[in-house]
Amino acid sequence: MAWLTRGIRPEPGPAVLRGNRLYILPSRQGMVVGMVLLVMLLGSLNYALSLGFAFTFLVGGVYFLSIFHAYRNLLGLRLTAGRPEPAFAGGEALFPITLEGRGQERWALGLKLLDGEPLYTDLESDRSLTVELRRPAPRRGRLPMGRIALFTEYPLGAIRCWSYVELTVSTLVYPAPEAEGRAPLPAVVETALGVEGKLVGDSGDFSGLRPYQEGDSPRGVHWPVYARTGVLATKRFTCDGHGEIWLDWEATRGLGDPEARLSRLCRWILTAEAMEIPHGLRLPGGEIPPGRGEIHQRLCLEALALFGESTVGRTGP
Amino acid sequence: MIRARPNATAWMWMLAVLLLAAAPHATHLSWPILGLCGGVAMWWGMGVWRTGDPPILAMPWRMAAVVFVLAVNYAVHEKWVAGRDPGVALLVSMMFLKLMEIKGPRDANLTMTLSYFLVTVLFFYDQSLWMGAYVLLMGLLATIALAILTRPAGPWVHRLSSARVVRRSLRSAALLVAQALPLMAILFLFFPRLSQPLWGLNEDAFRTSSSKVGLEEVMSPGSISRLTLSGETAFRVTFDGPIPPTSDLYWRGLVLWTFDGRNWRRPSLPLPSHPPMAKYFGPPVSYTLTREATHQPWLLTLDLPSELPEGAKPANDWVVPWDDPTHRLPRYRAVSYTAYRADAGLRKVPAQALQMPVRGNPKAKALARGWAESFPPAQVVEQSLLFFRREPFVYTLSPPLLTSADPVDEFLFTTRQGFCEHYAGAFVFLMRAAGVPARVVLGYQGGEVNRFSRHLTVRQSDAHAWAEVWLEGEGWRRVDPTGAVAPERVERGAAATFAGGLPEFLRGEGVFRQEFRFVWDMVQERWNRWVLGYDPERQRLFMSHLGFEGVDWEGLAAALMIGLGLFTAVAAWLLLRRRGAPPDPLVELRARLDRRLAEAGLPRRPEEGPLAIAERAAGRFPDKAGEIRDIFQDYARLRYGPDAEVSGVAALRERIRRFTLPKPEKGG
Repeated sequence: MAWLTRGIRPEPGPAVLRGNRLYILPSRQGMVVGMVLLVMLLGSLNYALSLGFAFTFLVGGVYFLSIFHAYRNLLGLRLTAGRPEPAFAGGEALFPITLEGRGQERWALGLKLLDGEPLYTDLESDRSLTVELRRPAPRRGRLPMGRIALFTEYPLGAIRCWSYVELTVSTLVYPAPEAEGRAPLPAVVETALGVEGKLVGDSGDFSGLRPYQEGDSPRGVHWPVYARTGVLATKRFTCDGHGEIWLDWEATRGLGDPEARLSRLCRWILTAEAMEIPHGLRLPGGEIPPGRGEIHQRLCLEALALFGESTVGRTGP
Repeated sequence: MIRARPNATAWMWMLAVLLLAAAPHATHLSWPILGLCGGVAMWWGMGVWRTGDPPILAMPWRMAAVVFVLAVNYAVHEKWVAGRDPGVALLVSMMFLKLMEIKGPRDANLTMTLSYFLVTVLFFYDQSLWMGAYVLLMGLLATIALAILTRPAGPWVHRLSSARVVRRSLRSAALLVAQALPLMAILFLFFPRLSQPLWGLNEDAFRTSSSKVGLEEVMSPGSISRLTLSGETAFRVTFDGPIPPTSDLYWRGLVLWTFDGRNWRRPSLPLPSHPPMAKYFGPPVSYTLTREATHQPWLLTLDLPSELPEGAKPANDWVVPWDDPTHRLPRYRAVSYTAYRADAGLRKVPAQALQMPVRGNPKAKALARGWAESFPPAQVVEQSLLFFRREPFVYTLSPPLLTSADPVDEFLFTTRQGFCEHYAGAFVFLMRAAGVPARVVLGYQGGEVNRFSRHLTVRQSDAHAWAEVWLEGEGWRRVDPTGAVAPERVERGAAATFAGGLPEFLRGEGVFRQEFRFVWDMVQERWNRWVLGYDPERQRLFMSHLGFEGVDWEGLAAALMIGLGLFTAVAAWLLLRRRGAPPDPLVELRARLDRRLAEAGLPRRPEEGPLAIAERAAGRFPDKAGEIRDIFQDYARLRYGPDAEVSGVAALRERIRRFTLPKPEKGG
């Protein structure tokens, strides 16, 4: 069916459904209705039933006019793309789309991304509505939203009217993080003095405890608590810039497969951020200086997502 | 996200439509079938009411129900499926049985679609004016139910309330039906009709149930007076010229020759096969007769017909048989003369004209023989009429029952009260006893002239029986003994005679009632003529009214296509034009700017505001930087500023129109 959609060009939006992009055909139920009407017509012809003709033509006329109603249900609908949130590979990407009725009440609108599940909605004439369209995100990288299919079988279910819109929106898909606990954070610490020491978190201000995780160094364990309660807990420190770690591509050498390596790095970034440890990212294409916080995390994850595509550390989507 | 299924309201709408489609069938469905359908409907309705979901019955029960229906069919109609009544019984049952396996909206849609069949087969039984209204009603209701039911299951992001859906469905359905009416009219008028059936007709396709009243082929005392209770229309006549006086309006249906002592019947032995001979005098009367009930295998004609519809041949007694189920002939033209001489030169009158039972009614026989001895045949007729006039005979709707073994004697000498069948039968008996050949004619007399449309309405209450005697040199002469007893019956018609005894419908000298009756009758007559009787001939007539003569089906098809094309164009224009507030012109201008920039290689990013993209564009095209900034600043001011002047928009539009950007080089 690709030839049918060749004419659909991606556009930044907002897109308005104009007449020349709307397609109309009878639905499967419409075909059944057509058959029934044909039988009624033949019967009326054979037995010369005037009222049979009248009824057949009335019902047929109603279905014929429902073509216009279906058409009008989609005509003039405006779609604007919103900013999608990034997703993780193997999950689902969500693309928010804002629909505007533009003075026309719309019923039972169906929306669907090419490989996603359909959604339905009504839309009052003076309202705008934001819908989250989903599609699976199997691989990391840049995932364009792709084509949106809009369809409706309003009002009688016999006529199907549909249209395709492709907005130039894409989202980032980060690599799927490795399973938790498979590899501990690299115990490489660079202090301001450039000395390589061991350990995470044995510097800075003690700010609390967290449950012990496999791979934590014994030096980080709060032994007095263990002596008292028998619960293993690791010390937490706020960082003052000294306790940084570097998440290095080379450190994942053991895995071999680049995707697996990226997965591990992804898990490390997430863990480091959860533990509030400043972390820097070192990849073959470049490096990101250590930092913390949501923006920094995004930057690092984006670098992983786009690994192999472009240089690391580029600003902006 | 809401997952939604049709709720109880939607299901109830569907059940209501189904019941309304099936209800008119109740009159011709047998009791077991009615019970089954009613039971299923109730069980289903209660299930939906309780749980909101339709209940489903297991397959074995459904199969058992189908077998039950077939068995009932066989028991009642002696056929499993073939034939109109068993077929309809099966169809109605299957519709209700289908209820028991509905799981979702798709099954519901199928049920609604099939209910169109239920309505259509109703037209085999009845196509009166009320059915026309029913057509409209069912069209509307079925559309409403479909509109309510056709909502996808989900998941839903934003779903309006069920009450709003119902309101909206009502409105949509009403609009759809109203918009479809002109289309229906165009199709009805121009769709070609066939003069022959496509594949033939079952002989019972139009058989009406025996509960419809009408003339029967046996006349017994009381059979005609029974008919006067019915105000139903028997037929309507439009005359080409002036309407003959009521005393000339004798409509011949059947002729009864054989008397068994009590009842008069069709001739038991065949009549001579040669056609009857007649001489006609005076002006011809041309008319078109439209029958209401078409189940009688003979045509009604005004005495005495000279021209009959094609294929109709009169029998020896001027009865016109018509027994062709493929060509029901509800309406036909004929020409008659009210002054005539029939079979005057007959050499030998059929022996049946003098048939009478050997025993019984001795006094009547004696009376008649007395006349025959003293008078020639013509005088015998006069003597008999004198007898009816002189003796205290009463013309009444409810005469006493004749119980003796000699009913003619009892009537002539004891009770002396009767209706037309008594007088006609007794008169013919007397004539035969006197040796004058005579026979009973059964038909209608008179009729009511509709003041609005000048057509004649003849009702069952106008049914009449009279006599014909054969006199040498004159032929068959009509003699109406009722005229001797109650001349106003013949001169003014039944309604005038029995103001007290006739049913409510026919009484009413009040002006309003009479006017209403006339208008209603005229409406029905028009309905029969133009809607029910819309056959190829009437279609040609319609086309010639439009100015197209001699149109065949190709011409009709062309007219149909043109009509459809025009309708589609008008509908498209009316329904699809832009309505409501015009879109914000600034938004369109912005879109145009975006397109311009995109073509130049600068696609817009959704999150960029107008000034940001202006900067980006200015950076890309430094020589146009000033113009770009100006345009975008103007736009921002108009869009977001406190007061937007219309003239500013027009000026901006002009600037954008003149603003161009170099296209990116190929390969760049």
